[in-house]
Amino acid sequence: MSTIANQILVDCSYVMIEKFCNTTVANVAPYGPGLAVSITPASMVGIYPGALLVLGSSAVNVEVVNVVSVAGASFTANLNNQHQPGEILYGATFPSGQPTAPLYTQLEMLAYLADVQNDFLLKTHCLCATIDQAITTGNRFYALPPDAIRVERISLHGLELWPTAQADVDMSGVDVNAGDGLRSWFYDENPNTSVAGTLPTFGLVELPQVNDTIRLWYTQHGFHSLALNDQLLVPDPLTYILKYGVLARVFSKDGDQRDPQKADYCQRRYDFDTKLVQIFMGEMEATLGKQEQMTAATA
Amino acid sequence: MGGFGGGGFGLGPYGGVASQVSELENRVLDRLEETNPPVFWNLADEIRTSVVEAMNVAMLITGEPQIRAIATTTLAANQVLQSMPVGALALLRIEGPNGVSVKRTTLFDMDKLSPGWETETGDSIDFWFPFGFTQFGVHPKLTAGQQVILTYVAFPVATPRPYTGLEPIIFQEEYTEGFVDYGSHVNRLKEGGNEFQQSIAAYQRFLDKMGELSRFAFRKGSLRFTRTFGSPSLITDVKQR
Repeated sequence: MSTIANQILVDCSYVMIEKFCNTTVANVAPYGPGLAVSITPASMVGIYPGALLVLGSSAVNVEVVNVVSVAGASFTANLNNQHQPGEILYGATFPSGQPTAPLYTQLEMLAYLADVQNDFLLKTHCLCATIDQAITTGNRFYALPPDAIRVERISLHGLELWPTAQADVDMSGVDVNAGDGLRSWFYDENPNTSVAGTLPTFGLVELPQVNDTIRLWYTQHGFHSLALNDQLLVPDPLTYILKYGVLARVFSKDGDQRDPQKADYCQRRYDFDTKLVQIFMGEMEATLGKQEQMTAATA
Repeated sequence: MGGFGGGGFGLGPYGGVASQVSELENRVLDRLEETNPPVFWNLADEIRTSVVEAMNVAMLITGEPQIRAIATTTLAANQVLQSMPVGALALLRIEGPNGVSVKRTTLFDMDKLSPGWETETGDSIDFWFPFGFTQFGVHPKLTAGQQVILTYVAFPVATPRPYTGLEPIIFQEEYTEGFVDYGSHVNRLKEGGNEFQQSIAAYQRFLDKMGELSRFAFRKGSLRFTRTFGSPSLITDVKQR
């Protein structure tokens, strides 16, 4: 995947008729790292104090910089890396109304994009991963991976543990502490989510009697927040769908830019094209399939 | 013979006329009553991108383009999960030695077929299964790398943005008018109002055309998108219970 967040936001900028920064740096000598480094771009379009811009033409020195101040044809920013004259400077900055009454902020738009990406991944389950989880003697419950939508399969030394439910375990009459060997797993219905940052948990039947390692097979969600130069997790040909999800939020927001016609169209496009992906995945059987519930007694 | 058989027409790989994305840009601009370079639209970021977007939508609806790789892929040893090749969205088929097709299954079915399958090893794979869009699994786990040929639904444009216009169009000519319809529609979104409303007809033409072309894709191979030959493609009652 190579599409970055800024590219989708630039696409949105065109539809929203918002200016954005897409220029090169005209400094004549290498600049940075340092604080309040003066940068002279070829164009100041879309640049304002507080704007986030992507600076750099190579994977080594590319960074997101925050515009500290603007003076004429130059601005200052704190740089972590050294940069060369002629490097690319770009960013979807949504300058309308800045600095006192912005219609949209960059952080707001990035939040929309992060939400839409996660919504898309939730609806399609198109990204899957595995991770090895250490289990310890006497501990039944373990946290899900932080990037997991849900666990689809758990295996121990290559052997699948049967998926079941807490209620089935309770009704089965199985002695869950017997220690006859792991055979199933279930989502914990009573996780301690009152503690901030606590992740959902799953439980094992029966109680582990030795330290070991299980493998979790799960569907992934994206990041909670995005930076301008973050690569999106969605495959490149499908990233256009995220644009419509973002625009649906943009045009349905209360305020001067409210546009019910565009909002309705973009939401319908997002829903329809997401459905296309769901159908496509179903045809490819790229989903992990539904997991049936089984009682622990029959596992 | 005239028509599509000879040279001098800038023929595409399927004998059609449009072979690069840039060749459709002027047609989209015509629909928008714009010259080249355009005034109210950006050629690279809006017009060109809309043509590529049209191809991506067409891929989802029709399951094309389908590519049988010329070069072999080496499956990594000692691991079940393998990375999808660059530019591949969904794997359709794996050919092992002597062109023999490897049986396709699912992760769910592997557990039913052979409990403990993850730890089994061998020198040639017998089964493969999809695992999302970015990986696929094989069984048994290989003791050494194996050369296979992959067939897959490919990214319509394999190179990342920004697009140059030189990207080849690897769809048949019948698709291209649909791409122009789509481009002329989405580029009017920013206008809104009646102009955009009237472009819905072009979008519907695109959908109708892709629907028709998806029937041809079905004719090419109705079982392409199903499990191994003879198996039902729908979720069975056991699986859904």
